[in-house]
Amino acid sequence: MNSKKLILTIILISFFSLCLFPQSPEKSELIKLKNGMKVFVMERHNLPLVNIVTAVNVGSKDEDKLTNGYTHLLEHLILFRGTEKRSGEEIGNEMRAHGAYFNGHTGRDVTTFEISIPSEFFDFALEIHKEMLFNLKISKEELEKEKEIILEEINSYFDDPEQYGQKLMYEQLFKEHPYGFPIYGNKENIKKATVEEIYSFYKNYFTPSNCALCIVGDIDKDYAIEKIKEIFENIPSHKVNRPEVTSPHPLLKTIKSITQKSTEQAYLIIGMRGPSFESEERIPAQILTKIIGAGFNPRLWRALQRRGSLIHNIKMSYIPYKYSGVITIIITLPPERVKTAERIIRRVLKNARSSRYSKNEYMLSENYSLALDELESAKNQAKIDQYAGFEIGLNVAIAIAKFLILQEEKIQESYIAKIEKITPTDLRKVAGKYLYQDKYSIVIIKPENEKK
Amino acid sequence: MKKNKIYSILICFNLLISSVALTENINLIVFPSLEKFALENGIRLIYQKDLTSQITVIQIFIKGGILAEPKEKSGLSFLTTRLAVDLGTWSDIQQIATMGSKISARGSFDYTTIRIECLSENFEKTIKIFSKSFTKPLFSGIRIDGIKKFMKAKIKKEEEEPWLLIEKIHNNLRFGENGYGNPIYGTEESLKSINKKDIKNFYKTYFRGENIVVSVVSDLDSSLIYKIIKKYFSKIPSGKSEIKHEIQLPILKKQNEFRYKDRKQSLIMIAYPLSEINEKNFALSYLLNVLMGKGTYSRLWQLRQKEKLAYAIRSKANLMLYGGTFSAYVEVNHEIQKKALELLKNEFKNLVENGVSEQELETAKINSIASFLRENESKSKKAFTFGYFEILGLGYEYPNKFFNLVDNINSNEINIFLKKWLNPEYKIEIVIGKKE
Repeated sequence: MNSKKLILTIILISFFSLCLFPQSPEKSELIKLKNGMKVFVMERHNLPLVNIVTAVNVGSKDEDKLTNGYTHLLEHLILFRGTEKRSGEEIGNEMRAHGAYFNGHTGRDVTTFEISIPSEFFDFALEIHKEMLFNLKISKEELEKEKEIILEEINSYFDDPEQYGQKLMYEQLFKEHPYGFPIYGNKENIKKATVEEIYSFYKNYFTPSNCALCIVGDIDKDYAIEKIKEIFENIPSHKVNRPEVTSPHPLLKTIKSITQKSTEQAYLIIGMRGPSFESEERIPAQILTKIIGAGFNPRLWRALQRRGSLIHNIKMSYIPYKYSGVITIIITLPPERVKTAERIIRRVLKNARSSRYSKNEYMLSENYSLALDELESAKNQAKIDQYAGFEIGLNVAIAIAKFLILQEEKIQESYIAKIEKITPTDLRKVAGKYLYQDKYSIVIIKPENEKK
Repeated sequence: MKKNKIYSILICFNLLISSVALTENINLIVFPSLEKFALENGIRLIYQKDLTSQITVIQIFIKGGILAEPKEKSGLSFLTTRLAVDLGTWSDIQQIATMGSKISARGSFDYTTIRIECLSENFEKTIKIFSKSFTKPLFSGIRIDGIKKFMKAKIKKEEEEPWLLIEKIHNNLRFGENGYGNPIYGTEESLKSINKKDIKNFYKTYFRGENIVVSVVSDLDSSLIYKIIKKYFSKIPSGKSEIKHEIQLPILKKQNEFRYKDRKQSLIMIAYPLSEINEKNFALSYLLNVLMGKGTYSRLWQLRQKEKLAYAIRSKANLMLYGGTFSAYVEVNHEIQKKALELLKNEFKNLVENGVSEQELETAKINSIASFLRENESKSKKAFTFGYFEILGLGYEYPNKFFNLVDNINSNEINIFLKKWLNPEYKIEIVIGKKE
């Protein structure tokens, strides 16, 4: 291990262990195998379970119009359709016989494969995890079976107004960029995909140097590392041949679409670009999202309710990606109130670049005693979310594995420490850059029978 | 063989964390450091120390719930509980907001719950502010109307979302208008009929010491938690309320229901009644759920894997004080909904007629144990689980007994259980979607 790696190890350990779990320091270590695979192991002995997660640097960002859906199809095949040694059914039955939970998640940047299993069966889980990831067998028969299931999955997203609306919102927000593709894929591509095409896609991306493995659980760190080396280090790596993905072109103006569906309520979905995963603005954007629409009594809720219960529900989220980020607002409301709600939301977003966020900023104002310390509130909410999320071993393993792929070697300090440093000025800067601009992707879903 | 292995892990784990001597009748302590305190007014405080994070989670259970509501006042238990977490003054709201503490209310069949999540450093301040509304809520007309509006929005959401709607239809078919059949958020009509007096009476009747369990999982010490809960919750009057109920299983008005929705997919449910909650029944129902639809390669999973029928397949067992339900769900293209319904029915028929083999039972036991562990990893889940078993009379230590109970179930027992409850005479089928 060279000094750069050693520093990274120390930083990672402090990031994931000491800062998060100061009262229960857990042993952990980051290494890189000879074939380039990144490995992080963290001991955690609260329950007799161990969680194994591999993040693969492949997602819908690596697809084009003709291959959109291949990553998701591959995820299904790896999980359920067998390897060179065993059929999908045999793997599933073996997993079940060992009390394992196994799953996978396709993303825009990264795809993860997960096993959570009683710690006694760690060796079994590691072996089968390797077999599933690096020894996939795709037969025409199994491929066709899985295609039918995926087509059903796509139908279910079409039926869900929120999912469907978000799909349209992403398409408008990222025209001509793979982030605009739906993660679950294009139906026609799925139907046409051949064994050869999928296998070639698989062979290209599923190589150890393109993966990060993370183990969190009731396991001895040194034993785990020894076992990982024994099982994974001999798999040869090759250079991945990936299409060049760049940051998407800026959105020049607001794009708006109105569609109808068989729903009782209307859905107003507003998307805008946000900071990317590696941006310094990422954590301020998370805090700002809480203040505007996701946290305790957020601004949008207050503004919309002031007019007498304009809406039924509000959700706001920010997802950072490798090359961009997306801030989404989803409102359910009576159809006749969409226009008013949209006007109020635009006003709240615009005001965010110049408004006050902390109680101190009201110091000389007559409103001082009534002012809400929104910044302090959002910081504390973010800390609670962070602690709560990291109580679950599988969540920790997924987050770290993804982190190792997305952030690479740029970690400088812990998430909690970064939260503490955020100032109102940081928030206004981020609001001015991302929320204020009239460059939104707006999707309105109205009930089909509205005119009647 | 593997089940013995997983059992041995639990035993080793148990030895490691609790140093408990093992006897023939193994007493597993997978959830250690559990304590119970009683306040003078009868409130039971359950506590577990957990150092994995610096937050404290409090789950408050108030016995009552849907079962305690008069027929024409459905929604009353949730409305009252929601009002009891509505903070009194802007200053209180400011302080809770600044600390980032989260307070929420939920309705259920036999109880309602209040969940509080805060940074441990803010535990006392949070409880102090919360206790003002909890021990002396303001039932003003404006507040009541505000919560009713929120509940009406939830009713709309339930009508729109098939997975919520199917539960609502099933509960009503299964239990009629006797307690469990009423919807959590009530109906437009029932909300109209609930007035301030109803709310005050409900609060006065059920928010009493012996009806309340406070379950806390925290990195703070038990002595501090006890001191704070005692200090702020002592104002709750002592006493207990008996709930009159008319539940007698099975009550079956209708066995089939179709609800039209213009969707590509149809959601199908087949449901059966289950017995009331007790130590053994909970373990048997949990096993049944794992056998049938929980996790990959359960029996229903085969419908996905071999029949390529659907993406979403699942099942759920729910036990209450006076009855329970077991439901299996599949979401399929509406063009094949008849086929899906037949295959689903066949799976139940096979299970009952052919029973469960020793090997399948052993696998289900391993999965039940592992699954129960996974479900109870976070502070929030644990606080709920300990309180849930305490309020329903199984005791806060039931989670530690669960492993033994599951392990001791034999194939004869589970097969008798299946035959008794998965009886076609009690079956309900519901389809939401287009006609095939």
